[in-house]
Amino acid sequence: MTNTLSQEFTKGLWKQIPPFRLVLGLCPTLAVTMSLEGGWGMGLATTFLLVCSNLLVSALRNVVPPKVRIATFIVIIATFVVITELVMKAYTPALSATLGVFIPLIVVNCIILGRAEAFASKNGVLRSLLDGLGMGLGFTMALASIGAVRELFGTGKLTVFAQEGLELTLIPLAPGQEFLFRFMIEPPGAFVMLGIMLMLMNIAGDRAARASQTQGG
Amino acid sequence: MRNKIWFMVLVLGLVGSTAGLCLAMVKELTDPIIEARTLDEKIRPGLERFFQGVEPDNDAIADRVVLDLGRDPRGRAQRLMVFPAMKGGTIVAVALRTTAGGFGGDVEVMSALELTEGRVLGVTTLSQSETKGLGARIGDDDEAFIKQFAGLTWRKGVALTADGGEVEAITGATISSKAFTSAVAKAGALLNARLDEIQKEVQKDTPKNPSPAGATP
Repeated sequence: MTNTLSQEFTKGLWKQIPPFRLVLGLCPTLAVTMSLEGGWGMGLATTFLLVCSNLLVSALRNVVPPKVRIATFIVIIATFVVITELVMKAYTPALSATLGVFIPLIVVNCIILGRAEAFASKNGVLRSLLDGLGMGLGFTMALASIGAVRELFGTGKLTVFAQEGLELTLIPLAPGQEFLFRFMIEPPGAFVMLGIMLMLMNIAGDRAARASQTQGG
Repeated sequence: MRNKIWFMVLVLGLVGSTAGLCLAMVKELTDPIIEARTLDEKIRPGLERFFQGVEPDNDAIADRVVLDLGRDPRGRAQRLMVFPAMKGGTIVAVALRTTAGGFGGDVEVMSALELTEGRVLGVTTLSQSETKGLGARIGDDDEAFIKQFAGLTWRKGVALTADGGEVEAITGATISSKAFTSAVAKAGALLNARLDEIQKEVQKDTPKNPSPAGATP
């Protein structure tokens, strides 16, 4: 069964949303979701990379010899990662400082190589573009939601874009109080949040599967 | 043809060189922007803080000079940027930008050194990619490690306690601490060796006693 073009785009947003359904790209999911800004920043950087690498990989899929395909993919991905890193350093220095080493580490994010190998190297340019865009936006949504929950319960704030001073204080803290639940913005909080999200996604998936079964039967 | 070895070499070579070309272009484009940001956001406030005590009567950033230090073993051009603090036409202190290899890449440091007593006025990290939570602490101006440097005598040399000096390394981040300290030591050594050259360059760039009488007819 082949997907329609719109399915190619929307599958990454829900059905195969990378961190929750494919359980791929967990390193950035755990590492940079201390704030909403970290979440969407990493998500959008990954989206840009996914779109670019999918485009190039699918355009070159009939030229590159199968034996050197992985090496070629890695060179393509690494190039776009360095470009992203330099551009972010130049135009969004605060965000690039927040994400730090995790921007160069996108090179080894398995979503990107995974989509290149599993999808873009077998499909046309338009489909690969839509696949990359959908997967990237799904990843962004996932990271931003984890980041928002962690930041809100950790500090009572939501950082939208620190460079422009876009910070919302939703839960005012007592004077001298720095954290609401400090646990939430520490590394274990990331694991717990990811676990809760996976549980919710599985419950929702089960419900949907049961509903379609009763409809079919 | 796609399985011939020469074709694989050709494809990989072409992909690699195109990638290199793209990266060089992006670097050319983003370097001036990143440099302008560093000057504005890191160096200017740093200089204001460090030169507070010497009360210079010039603009150290506008009067900066760049010395050509030849090439390093890898053939890259070595330059030294010097910000002079002047009082009545003579240099009383300078700030130098030096780099040293750290744990995750180059660590760039600005050291403000005073000339009459040979003391360090202050040091700050301009760029680094050390490990978050450990080596990256050298990027924090409030870090106790950074504060140790002000007041040391740079003419005697600056070194970690492990190397017979007076600077306590950050626990768990010896390599980063060592890189930072050696960058400061390098600044001191360069200043010792090239003070005459720096003075000459600074005098050349700033017009001697711009006489107000000559300017107004």
